[in-house]
Amino acid sequence: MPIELDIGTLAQSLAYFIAAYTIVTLSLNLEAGFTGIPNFGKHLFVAAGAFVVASIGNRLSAYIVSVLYKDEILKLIQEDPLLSKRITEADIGSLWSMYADPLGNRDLDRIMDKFFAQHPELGILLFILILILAVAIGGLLGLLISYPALRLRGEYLAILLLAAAEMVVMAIGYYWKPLVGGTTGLFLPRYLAVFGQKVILGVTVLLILAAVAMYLYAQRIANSPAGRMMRAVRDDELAAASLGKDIAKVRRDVIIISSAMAALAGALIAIHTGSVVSTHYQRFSWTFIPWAMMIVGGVANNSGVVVGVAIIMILQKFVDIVKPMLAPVVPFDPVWLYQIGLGLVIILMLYMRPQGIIPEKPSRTVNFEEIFEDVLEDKVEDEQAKKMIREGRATP
Amino acid sequence: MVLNVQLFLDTMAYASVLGLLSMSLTLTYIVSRVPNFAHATFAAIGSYMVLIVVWLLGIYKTGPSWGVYYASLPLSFIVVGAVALLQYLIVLRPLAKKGISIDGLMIATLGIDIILVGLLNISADFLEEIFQQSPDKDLRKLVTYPRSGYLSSYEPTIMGVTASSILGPLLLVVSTVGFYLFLTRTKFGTAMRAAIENPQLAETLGINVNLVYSISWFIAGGLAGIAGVIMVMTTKLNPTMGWLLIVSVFAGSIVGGLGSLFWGAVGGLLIGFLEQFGVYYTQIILGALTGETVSLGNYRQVFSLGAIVVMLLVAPQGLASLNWGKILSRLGLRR
Amino acid sequence: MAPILEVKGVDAGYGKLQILFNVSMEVEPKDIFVIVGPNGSGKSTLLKTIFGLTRIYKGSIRFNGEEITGKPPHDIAKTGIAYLPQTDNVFAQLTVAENLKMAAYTLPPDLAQERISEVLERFPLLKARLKDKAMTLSGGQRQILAMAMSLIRKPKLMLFDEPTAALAPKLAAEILDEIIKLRDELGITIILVEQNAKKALQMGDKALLLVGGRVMYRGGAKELLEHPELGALYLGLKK
Ligand SMILES: Nc1ncnc2c1ncn2[C@@H]1O[C@H](COP(=O)(O)OP(=O)(O)O)[C@@H](O)[C@H]1O
Ligand SMILES: [Mg+2]
Repeated sequence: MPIELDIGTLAQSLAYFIAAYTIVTLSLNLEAGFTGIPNFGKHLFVAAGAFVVASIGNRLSAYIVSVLYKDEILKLIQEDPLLSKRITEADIGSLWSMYADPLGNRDLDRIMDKFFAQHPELGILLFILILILAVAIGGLLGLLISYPALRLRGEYLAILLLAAAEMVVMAIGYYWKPLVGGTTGLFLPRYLAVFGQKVILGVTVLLILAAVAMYLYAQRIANSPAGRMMRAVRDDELAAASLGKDIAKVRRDVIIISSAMAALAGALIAIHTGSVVSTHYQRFSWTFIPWAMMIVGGVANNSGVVVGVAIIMILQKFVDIVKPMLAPVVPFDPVWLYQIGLGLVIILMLYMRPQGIIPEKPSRTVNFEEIFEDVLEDKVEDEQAKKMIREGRATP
Repeated sequence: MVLNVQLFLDTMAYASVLGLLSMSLTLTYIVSRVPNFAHATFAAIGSYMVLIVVWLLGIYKTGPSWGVYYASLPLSFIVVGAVALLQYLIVLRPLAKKGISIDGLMIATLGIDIILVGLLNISADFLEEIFQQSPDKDLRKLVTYPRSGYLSSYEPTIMGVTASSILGPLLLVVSTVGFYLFLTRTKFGTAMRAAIENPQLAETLGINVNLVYSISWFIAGGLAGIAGVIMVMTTKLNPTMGWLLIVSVFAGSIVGGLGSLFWGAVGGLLIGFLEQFGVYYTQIILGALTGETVSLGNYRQVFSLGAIVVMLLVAPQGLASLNWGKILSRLGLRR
Repeated sequence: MAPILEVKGVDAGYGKLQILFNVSMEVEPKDIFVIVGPNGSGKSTLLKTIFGLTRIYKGSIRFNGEEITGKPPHDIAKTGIAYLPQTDNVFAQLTVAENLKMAAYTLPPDLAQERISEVLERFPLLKARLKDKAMTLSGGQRQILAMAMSLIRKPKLMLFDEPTAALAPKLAAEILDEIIKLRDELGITIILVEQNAKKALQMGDKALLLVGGRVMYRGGAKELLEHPELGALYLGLKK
């Protein structure tokens, strides 16, 4: 069977996925790689960004537009033979509430699309507003999560975050229609009408720009005193404490920053897709794959993350291409092989090269080994206890 | 509001499933010190064994039969036990030996979950294909089962009560008591406790710790497998049926403290009741407030998540760590 | 006489972290062989290495002429070596009776019962505590229980890792006396790691001084005690 390869589309889609995953995996790396906070509920934070865009953004923009441009909206409704029967002038004030169900969403979306086509500048404005909102809410969610995160042991935290994420994404997002339309999802208005027909390309470029910015930002954090501090927290609570800095604050800031980053990615992904449905934000796509990318590329290494993202995304595209060839041969959907393959890759990687393709660079300025010994001499009196701490430290 | 009998019976089956799963998850945690995120999918594999039994033993033709249980309980125990054993032997033990961090081990269990769900999906595709192509008209009716089958129609009833409502609690009690006797009364059981407390010392005394751990994983998987058999009587069959369930299972284990099998079973049982009755009464209250019928069954895990949060923040060592003597006397239940 | 234990050119450690470098030693039957050295020099690691609890990169260990390098510890246990770790040498959560039962794990039931009765005769104070969890025992009692546990299989060679650490001086002396009795009465070969170098070297026949994972001295125990520099340099012994 001949396969048609549209290189342009392929490259564009690859660029989109690489950019989106770069942001999410960089944010995961800030938490898990640099700071040792095992976020097993990353999909919650990505979903948060997308859910904000769909549920709050949709309503907000409908509300603002219907208040400020009541007449124009009314005209658009009356021009539409179907809608004019369903929506009357009296409904205008509560137009935003139509987003509570998928049918209303569909109707409203048609009007909004037309409206933004006429007012692209307002679309851009609302887009920026909603993006800021998504990032802010993502950060707030991070703040909320930081409360247990600062108190719990790693595995308990991992369980809690995974459970919370599954709950919000798989149960509430999937079943509770008012949030993001339940099983059918919600469409988003085309805010970025400025891009005309090239909306997808436009948003892809935005995502790439965002990914580059986030990379530079993550690099700056990693190389700052706070970044070294983070690694200290991860490797040695004791040594970090001896530096006299506020561990809790650093950890909290990291969680807030990376949650906001993930939400930014989620929001841009939603805009790119033009719709939001909770099943797009599952554990496999936005927790497991980012972890796989981080482990393949290199834990606690931003360039490693980019390499890992690129490798796995290219692999996925490759699978997408061979899938149609495989489909007639195997008596099942070849996509499962991709999932199984990724599961195997991560296990083999952990076994053969746990430090990733590009290992973490050793810290240049501070030797924690020495600090640790100093602290130990200083703070722990009992020889036995010292030995136990050392051994406990040395034991993996 | 009086207690609803049917609700109670339904809850018994579901809560004992969680009891079995939380107990067996606790066992794997005690042994390997890593939360196994694939544990609920273990149960899903057990559930698929029921479909296979219904198909291969021709129960889809004959209707409800005890054969469902006779065949699928041992089959699930062995198959899922073997899966768990392999997970321990080929993945977790070598990785732990290499000194991989706990985060790495956890992501490995997430990887195993993905692999297992992938294999279940492949099996579901296969089964759909087989059922669809079958000349047997009855078998063709099963074509939707691999992805959304209710298998409860093939289980027998006892005096009008579905067997799972009775068998579930029975299996839970038998395995808890059995475990207790095994751990306290037998040499191997004592060795298990010894190997868990201090593997190095156990080794130096001639106990083969790896063997002990392997058997623990096998038993834990087996119990998850039989939990899956009961589970599929209360819920729809699907390759990803474990994904939300894992929230409830972890809730049960955390409520139990992740340190004791008995408390793990109690924790799972409690979570089962909390979810079912929480949903039931919230529905009634919300219904009264809004004047509409409210259906919240899909959000049952909200109560589990709540239990996890409360437990971790209030008593992170679980119910097992509480001073029950003191609590009972405070409540005036004991002098 | 042929040595009962032969360690030849052993490099060993934990994972990739090498602790021991080219360590060799020979232990004669019925000797008390003392290993001394500063803290962190690898004494415990050497005992663990003999018992197969560390990673051996190079070299060989032979017990009674039989190669035991690379064997899993639970198999080494069956060859007649017993090991008393420095800490956590009893199961705190198990009762005294269960601890003894675990010590007799590899023996057939009848023999196990017989041996347990034997050690209870030897250490009567355990008899009264059979049903108590080991965590309720005092430090000295725990050390006794640990010793009883290692005797159950009638080992030919016993490895003691700082058995007197954290014990009151009087108790410590009793434990050391007990160890000498094991050799004198039961003819068990002893390898002893001791903090109190002076006491240990006085009761020992041969000795090994370990510094930074390397052998600095190997020979008579009394000679090390009287050595003009080594003792003062590494063991805090006065000249
Ligand atoms: N389980 C372990 N993992 C890694 N390193 C260890 C472990 N146990 C001990 N060490 C290291 O090995 C070295 C020697 O320790 P040890 O053999 O206990 O010395 P000693 O018993 O002579 O005081 C120390 O530097 C210690 O930190
Ligand atoms: Mg030592």
